[in-house]
Amino acid sequence: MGSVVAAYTVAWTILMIFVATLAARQRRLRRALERLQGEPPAGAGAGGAETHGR
Amino acid sequence: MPTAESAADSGLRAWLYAAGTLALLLVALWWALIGAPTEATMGTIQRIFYYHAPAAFASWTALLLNAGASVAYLARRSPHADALAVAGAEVGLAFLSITLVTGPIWAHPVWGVWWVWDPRLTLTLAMWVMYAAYLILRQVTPEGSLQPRLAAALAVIFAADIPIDYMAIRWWRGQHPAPVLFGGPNSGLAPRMAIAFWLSVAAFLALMALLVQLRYRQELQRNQVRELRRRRVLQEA
Repeated sequence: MGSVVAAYTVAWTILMIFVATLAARQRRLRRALERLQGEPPAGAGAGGAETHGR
Repeated sequence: MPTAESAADSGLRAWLYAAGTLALLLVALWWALIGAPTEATMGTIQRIFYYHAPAAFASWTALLLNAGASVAYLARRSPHADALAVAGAEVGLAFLSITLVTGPIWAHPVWGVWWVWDPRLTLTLAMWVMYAAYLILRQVTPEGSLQPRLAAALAVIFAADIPIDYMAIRWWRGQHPAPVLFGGPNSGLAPRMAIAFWLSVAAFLALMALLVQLRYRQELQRNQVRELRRRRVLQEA
């Protein structure tokens, strides 16, 4: 019975690691997308202070 | 452009599919551990078969998807096909890892050794190494038009291992057990064992499809981030 439990545990662990990696990558991507879509590019728009020599 | 309602519908469908897959996995687990009768010769250890073989089926299917998407990419240069190829390879490798780990756990008490260089085992290990190399290659080569083309060409070559691996236990005599399914007149499973086996196959295939879909969408998002970054750099220049 020990081998069966070991085999099933390893199988579920591999799947859980895959899902956790997928979720972590998804969070990173969502943050990157929000940042890129939310912020204006540096130097663009009315608030481009760094282009005015301050 | 999708409307808010259609996006919500699609989200609900995805959650329902994920919940259905989880339910199927739990039912299959019950059948594999409790519902199926204990095998007369090997005893309880035979229950590893209900995860080992379905994981192999799921990995072959995902890797065939990788091969099909790679052919489509070479023909049309579609980023969607490339994203599907990456998704197929990653998910296929995860299921192949399950096959490769559960196999020796079954083999050790039955054969007395963890591993033998039998054709089926060797070809499966070679397949794992090939697809791991494929994914590493995609990571280390600089992004550009040549990277997905090179990866697609390799994927088509590597796919040749899939049918050979499947047929290995039919073509050559080795240590690996003879095929239990589609293996001729002496093969087959007792009815309750067959229920456990096919439930596990259905659960693993459903999970494979779910993971491929999630990873595919993620890869498309990654392309979107890359494109936005490229535009940002151009705007700032």
